[in-house]
Amino acid sequence: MKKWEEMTPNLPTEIKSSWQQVLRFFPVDFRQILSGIGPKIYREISEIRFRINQPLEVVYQKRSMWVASDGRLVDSPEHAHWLRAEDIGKIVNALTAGSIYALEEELTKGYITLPGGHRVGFTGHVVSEAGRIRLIRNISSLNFRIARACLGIARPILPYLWKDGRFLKTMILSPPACGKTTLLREIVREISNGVAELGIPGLHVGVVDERSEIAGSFQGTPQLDVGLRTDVLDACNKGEGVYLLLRSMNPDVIATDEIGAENDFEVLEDIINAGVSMIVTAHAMNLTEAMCRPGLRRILERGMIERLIILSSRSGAGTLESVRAGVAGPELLRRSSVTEEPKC
Amino acid sequence: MLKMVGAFLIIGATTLAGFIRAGRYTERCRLLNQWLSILTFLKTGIGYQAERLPELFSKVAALVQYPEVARLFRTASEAVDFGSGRSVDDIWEQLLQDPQWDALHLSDRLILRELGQYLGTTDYRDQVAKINVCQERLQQNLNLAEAECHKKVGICRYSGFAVGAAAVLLLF
Repeated sequence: MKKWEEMTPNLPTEIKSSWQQVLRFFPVDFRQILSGIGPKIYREISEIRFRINQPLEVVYQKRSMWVASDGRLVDSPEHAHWLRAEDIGKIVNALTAGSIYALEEELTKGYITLPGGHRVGFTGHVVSEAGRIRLIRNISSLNFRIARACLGIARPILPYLWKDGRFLKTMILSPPACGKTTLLREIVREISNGVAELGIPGLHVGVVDERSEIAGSFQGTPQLDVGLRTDVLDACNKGEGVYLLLRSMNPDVIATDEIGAENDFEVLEDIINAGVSMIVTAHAMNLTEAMCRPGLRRILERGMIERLIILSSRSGAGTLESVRAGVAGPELLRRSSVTEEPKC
Repeated sequence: MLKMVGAFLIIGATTLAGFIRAGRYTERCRLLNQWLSILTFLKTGIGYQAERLPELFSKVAALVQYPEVARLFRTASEAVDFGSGRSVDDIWEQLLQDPQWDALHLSDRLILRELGQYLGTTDYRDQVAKINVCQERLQQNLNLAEAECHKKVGICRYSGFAVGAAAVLLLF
């Protein structure tokens, strides 16, 4: 069995999202503040957070930092730039291009997706109707999550997912914010484009992107690179989306995010019975925890999954813990805890 | 000879003034009709296609016949897009202040200005309702404007000539 670090010397990664592209979404005054952040720093900023009557915050290297009016990152909130209610209103207006009505459906889910695949989460006063969120108004907090593509990160894993001329049914397991969706997107991109060195021809991949996280679609167009032969069903629930793809798009592989609900079992079973392979992700710290979730347990126990990829954030987001040949199968790839992972 | 030239000049100037005055009545009707079409387009885009304002304004710019109106909507489209620090109300107000709309009455402007206060900020049902109200009120103004136009356009044109002729008779 090879170790992960032996296979990833100087792994090429490409940061596709530039700071300027991120800044263009903000009003001029905030663009000025945030443009004061140096290039070495902004490459490692993953979130920008705005709250009414609170200081401007960024998540830098997974650490919460405050931003001063000149763009410096400071530890003390007293030296930070404080936000007023008008600032939040102005930022919401800038991020929605003054068109709240066009984002009604997305706003009920608590986030909107922007060109470039960036995502903005909202909280505020929730208006419910018949027990369901109808809209969020009087927005009080915003979380701008920067989308970044990490090209090449799936390459070392791919040989384990391809056998006898077919893509194996794969599940990526990890706790939240450990890079599941990023790895899923990269695997989709690679198999969709095809990898000549590994003998993988370009496959038709159908993506059911329930939360617009995989392809980061804006107005139905994928903003992140998901490959040449990928068809994306944006903002569609898994149940309906999978059948739609099977009926209409003749995919070789179906990819979807965050499975684990009770009825997901039937959906996956139908994919397999249709002779189509799949790659899915699920929330769980490890295999033991996954087996405690009834929906996942059912899927795993039935042997539906041929490859299990387990991620953690032990050495930064996207730390590969292992690649296993199914639940009962051997561990094919393991990573030691000390290796530095390439950052995206 | 000099008197003849003077008489022609006076009559020509007053007739022209009469035609200009008459033109303002027809121009108001034309602008109101144009606004009603623009509002129908916005209503469809918002209510049925949930298109964002920048795209809608761009489409309006591409659809309208008059280059000056197209320019105004193109500018508004750029101003309202991502990263804008200005509210839609503010951008709409600026659009309405253009001399292009000079022939509109204050009551027409107030109706459109009121729409600007809500544009983009509420859910699509409310947006459609607000546009409907705006259209109804503008339609009422258009009906009045057309009636006024029928009544006054001829009068203005003739009175321009008549005033000129009277002035010539008095002077010479």
